[in-house]
Amino acid sequence: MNDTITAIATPYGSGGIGVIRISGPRSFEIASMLFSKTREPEETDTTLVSHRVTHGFILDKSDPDNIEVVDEVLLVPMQAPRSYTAEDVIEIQAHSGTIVLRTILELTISCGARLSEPGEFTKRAFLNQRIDLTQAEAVIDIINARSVSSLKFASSQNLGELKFKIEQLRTPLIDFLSRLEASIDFPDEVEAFEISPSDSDQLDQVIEKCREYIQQHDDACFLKEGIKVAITGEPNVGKSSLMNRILERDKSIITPIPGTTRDPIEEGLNIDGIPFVFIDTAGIHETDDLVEIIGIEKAKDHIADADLILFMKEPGSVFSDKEFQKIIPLENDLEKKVILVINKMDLAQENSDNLCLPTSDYARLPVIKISALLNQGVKELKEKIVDLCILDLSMTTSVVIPNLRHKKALELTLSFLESVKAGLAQGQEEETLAIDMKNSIDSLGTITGETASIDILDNIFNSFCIGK
Amino acid sequence: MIMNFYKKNYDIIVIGAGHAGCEAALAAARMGCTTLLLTIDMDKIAAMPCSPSIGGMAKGQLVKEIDALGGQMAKASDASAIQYRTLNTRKGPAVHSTRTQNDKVIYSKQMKSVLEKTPGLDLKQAMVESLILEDNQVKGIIDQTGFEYEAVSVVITTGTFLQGMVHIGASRIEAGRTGEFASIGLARNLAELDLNMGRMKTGTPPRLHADSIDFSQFDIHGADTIPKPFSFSTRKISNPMLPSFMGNTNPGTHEIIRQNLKHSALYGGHIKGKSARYCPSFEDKIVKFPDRESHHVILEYEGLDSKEIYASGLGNSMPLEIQYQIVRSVRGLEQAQIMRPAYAIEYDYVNPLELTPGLEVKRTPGLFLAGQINGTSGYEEAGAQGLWAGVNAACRVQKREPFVLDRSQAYMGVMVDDLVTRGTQEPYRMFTSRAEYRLLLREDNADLRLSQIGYDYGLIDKEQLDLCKEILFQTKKEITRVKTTVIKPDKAVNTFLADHKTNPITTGIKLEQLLKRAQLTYEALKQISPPQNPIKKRAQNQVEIEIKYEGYIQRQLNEIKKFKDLEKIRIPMNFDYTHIHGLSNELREKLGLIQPKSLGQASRTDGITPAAISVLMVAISAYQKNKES
Repeated sequence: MNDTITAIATPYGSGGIGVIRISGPRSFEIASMLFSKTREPEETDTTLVSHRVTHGFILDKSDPDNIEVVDEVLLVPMQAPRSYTAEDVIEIQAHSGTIVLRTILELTISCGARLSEPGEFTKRAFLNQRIDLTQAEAVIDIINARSVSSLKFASSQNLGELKFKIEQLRTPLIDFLSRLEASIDFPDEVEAFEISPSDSDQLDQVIEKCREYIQQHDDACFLKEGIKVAITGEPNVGKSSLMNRILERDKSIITPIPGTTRDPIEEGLNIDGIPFVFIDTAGIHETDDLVEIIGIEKAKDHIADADLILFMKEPGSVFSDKEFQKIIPLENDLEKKVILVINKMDLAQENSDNLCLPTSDYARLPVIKISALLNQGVKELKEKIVDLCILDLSMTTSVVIPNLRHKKALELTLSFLESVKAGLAQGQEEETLAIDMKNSIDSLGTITGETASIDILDNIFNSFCIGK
Repeated sequence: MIMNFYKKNYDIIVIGAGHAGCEAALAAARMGCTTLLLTIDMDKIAAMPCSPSIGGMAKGQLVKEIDALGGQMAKASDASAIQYRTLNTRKGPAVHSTRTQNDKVIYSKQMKSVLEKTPGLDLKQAMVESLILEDNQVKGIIDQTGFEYEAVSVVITTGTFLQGMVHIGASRIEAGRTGEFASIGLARNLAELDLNMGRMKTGTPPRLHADSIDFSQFDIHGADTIPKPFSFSTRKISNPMLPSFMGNTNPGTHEIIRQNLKHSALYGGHIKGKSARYCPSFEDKIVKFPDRESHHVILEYEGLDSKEIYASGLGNSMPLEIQYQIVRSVRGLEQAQIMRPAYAIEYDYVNPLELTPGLEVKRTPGLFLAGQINGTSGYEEAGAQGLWAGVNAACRVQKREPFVLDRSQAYMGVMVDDLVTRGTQEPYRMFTSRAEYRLLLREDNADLRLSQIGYDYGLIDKEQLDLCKEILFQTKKEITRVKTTVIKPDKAVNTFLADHKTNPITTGIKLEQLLKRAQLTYEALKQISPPQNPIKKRAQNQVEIEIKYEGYIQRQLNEIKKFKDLEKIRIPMNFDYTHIHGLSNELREKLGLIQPKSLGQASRTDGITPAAISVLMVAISAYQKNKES
C-alpha cells in the first residue's frame, strides 16, 4: 500500500461535476505537478493547504513548449489521516465531460499514480481503520461487487472477444519465452535460441496488433464522448445561430457584433442514438485583438481535432480555394468530412445564381442550404451529418474496444516488446531478453485476468525432448 | 578415557545419510546441537545411485548456496571431481552453472570422513522402524532391533527408500536402491500419522563396461580445460580430469522400444508413480516424440578406478534381454557389456503441502522432512533441503525463529516456497526459470548474498564472512569510481577502442558507459583506467556484472520491493479460512491446507485472484482488530 492510486470517483457520464480522487503518499506531489492557481505554470510550487478548497487549473505539461490548460477546477487536498482512506488524498473537482475527466485521470497516471483496483479506496479506508470493524464484510462485498461489475462492464464490451484476441497475442510470446527459457535451462539438449525471419515477422505482428488495439481505444473514446463536429466560418456568418438551432435551445451569445464567440462552446447531442459533440468555434479572420487571436487559435485546434466540419458561408460570398486551404488543407485531410453550409438563404435572391459554389477539388463536398433564422434546412443538415458518420460507426462498433485499464496494459506490453526487438537486433543475451518477454506476457495477462503465472516449463516439456 | 556409557539422548536425530541427511546433520552439529545420523548402510553414505555428477543448470546455484551456508556438497565435489563444465558460457553470468562429474567412491568417502570428524555428530548404522510420539510431538525413534534414541527434533531424509520398489521389466524387487533394503516399517509408521502421501517414480540408465565400448564411434563431449572450483573455499584441484563421449540412438533403437513397449514396466502397467517430464525414460522419449529419429547418448566415467560407464540417455525399465538389444543397437556399443541394468524405482513421498516453510510437518511438531521424501529429485535439491531442515531442527532446539530464505534471497528459498505453497505433481527439480529474480541469484554471488545469514546462524566462521564483506566493500567502492570517472577522447583511448572493435569517442564519457559496451570487459578497461588500489578478482567480476546488467537488475530490485510488501503482511497462526466471507469454497479449503505464513505466500497459491487477495487482506485486518479489542 505504498503506492498512490487514482480513479474517477463520480459515476460515468452524469452530473455537471466529475471528481477525480487520488490517494496515497504521493498524492500531494502529483497534485502539485498538475495543478496551478493560474493558467500559467507557477514559478514556485503551489503549497496545498489541507482541507482548503483551492481554485485553479489542471495543466498538461507533457510538452514543455506547449503547456495546455485542461480544465478549470477546484482542488481539495486532505492530509492523512483526515480523509476517506486515512491517507493523503487529493480530490479534483472538474467539469464532468468524459474527455476532460479522462485526460486528467491519464495525467495523474503519467505523474506516477496507479489506476485503482476495484474497491481499492474502500479497502484502504478499512485497512487504515477509517471504517468500523463491523463494516469489514461490507468492504469485502464492495470489492467483490466491483470486481464482478468491472467484469460485466468488460463483457458488455465483448470480453470473450477481447480475451480471445489477447490470447492470440500471448500465444506466440509464450512460445518465444519457452524457447528462450529452454535454451537457458537445457543448454545441452536444446538448440541455441535463434530468431528466424518468420519469428521476427510474428513479433512485429504482435507489436502492430498492440498498437491497433490502443488505437481502437482512442477511436472508441470518440464514440463514448461523441463524434466531434466543429462549426466554422467567417465572423457573423451565423455559427452560433446554427448551433442553437441544432441543439434546439439558446446557448451561444448571439449578437450582431462579429467576434462575439471567443471561447469555443461545446455541447453534446444525441441524434438517432449516435452521440455528437457540437463545437461552436470563433470566427476565423484577421484581427489585432489579443483575446480574439487566442480564440481563433483555439478554433483552429478544434477544427484540426474535429471528425466533421460544418463550413459556413452566406450567399454571395466567394469560395476561394485559398480560404479553404487555411482551414481544411486537402493534402493531409482528405479523410476529414466537410459539409458546406450556406446560411441566410432567407436573404438570398429567389434565383440563387450568385451562390458561387466551390470549384476544383472542393467541388465534390456536399452542400446544404439553410436559414438558421427561419430554422429551414436544419433537419436536412442533421440527416446529412448522420449519413456521413454512419459508415464509420458500422466499422467501429464491431471491433473490440479496450478500456483505459486495458490500454495501459497494452502500452506497457508494447514498451517491453520494443525492448525485446531492440535487444534482438543488438544480440542481447537470453536471460535479459526473457525478462522483457515475460513482463510483456504478464502485462497482457492483466487484461484477461490471467493471474496465475504461466507454466513455461509445461510448454517446454511439451515441445522439447529433454532428459537423460 | 574409556567410554563406560552410551549416549541415548540427542538434540537432533537425522534418519538417512544421503545428500539431504549429511547436510542436515552437519548443519545441526555446526550450530552446536548434539546430533545422531543414522544410515541403513555405513558404506553407502552420500551415494550417487544415478548420474555420477553434481551441479548443472540451477543445481549449480543450489550447490554454491549450500557452500555459502557452510554445507559440504561443493567441497566434496571438488575433492572427487573428474571433470568440470561451466554451462551456458555463451550467455550472461546469471545463467552460468557449474557441473562436475565425480568419482562416486571418493565423494562418498570424503563425506563420511567429514561426518566422522565433526564434533557433536555421531554416525551410526541402524534401520529406523518407528518414531516415538507424545501428544503428536516427536520424542525420538526406535530401530529395527527395538533400540530407542530420544531427541527434540527428528529429520527424515529417506530418499527413495520409503516402500521402495525396483522395476526391471515385469520383475519387481522391494528395495531402496538395487541391492539395498527398502524402509517399510517407517513408511507404515508415517502413514499412521495420517499424512497426505503419494507415489513417485524415477529411474536410472544402465552402466556399461568401458572395455566393451568402441569409443572411436563417439565424439568427445566438451569439458572445461581450466577447472573452476565449486566451493568458494577450494584453492586447488588435484584429481586428473576425464572426458565424456557423445553418440546417438537411431531408428533401429527406437523400433526395438516400439516392438517391446508391453514389456516395459512403465508402459506395461506396473508403475503407478508419477515420473518427471524433464527426466523421461527412453520409452517416454520414443512415445512422446515419435518424429525424432535420434536421441543423444552420453557416456560418462563413474570414477577414476572404475570401468563402469554411465550411459546417459538410455534409462529404461525393460527386461535385461531387451536392454541388451537397445544398448547394442547404438553405434559403438555393439559389443557392450551391461554391468548394472537400467531400472525404474517407485517410492513413497509426503505431499509437501503438509510442511511449514521450515520444512517441519505441520501436524507433528519436531518432525522435519527433506529430500526425495518431499517429492523432489536430485542430489542438489536434496542437499539444499537437508541443510534447510537441519538448521530449522536446530532452531527448534535452540528456540530460535525458523530459518526461512525468501524467493529474492536464494534458489533454496524459491524451491521451498514452491514446495510448501504449490506442492508438486511430479518429482520437483530446480530450474533457473523458476527463479523470478534470476539475475540477482547467481552462482558468482552466492556467498556474497548469504554469508551474513550463514554467520548469524553459526554455519560459517568469521574469516569467511570477512572475506565476503571485503569483496562487497571493494565492489561498492569501485562501482562508484566507474560511475564517476570520465574518460577523455584522447588518441590513446581511441586507439584502445579501435583495438577492441568498438566506436571511438568524441566527447568525455563515463567509464561506466564504456563498460556497458558488449565489446569491453573490466579487465580490458583497466588498461585505460585502473582503480586507485588493486582490488580482488572477484570484486572486479562483481563490478562488471552489476554494471552490464544494471538496468535489468534495477527492475528486479523494484519488483522485489513490491514482493516484500506482501511478504510483510503476516497471516496469524491457524487462521480460520472456513468462515471468511467472500472467498470461494475451493480457496477456503486450499488456504486452510497450505496455511500460508504471509499474504505474499497466499498470493502464490494456485487459482487465487487479485480480488481474493484484497478480501484476505481485509479479513486478516479484521481478525487482528477483533483480537485487540
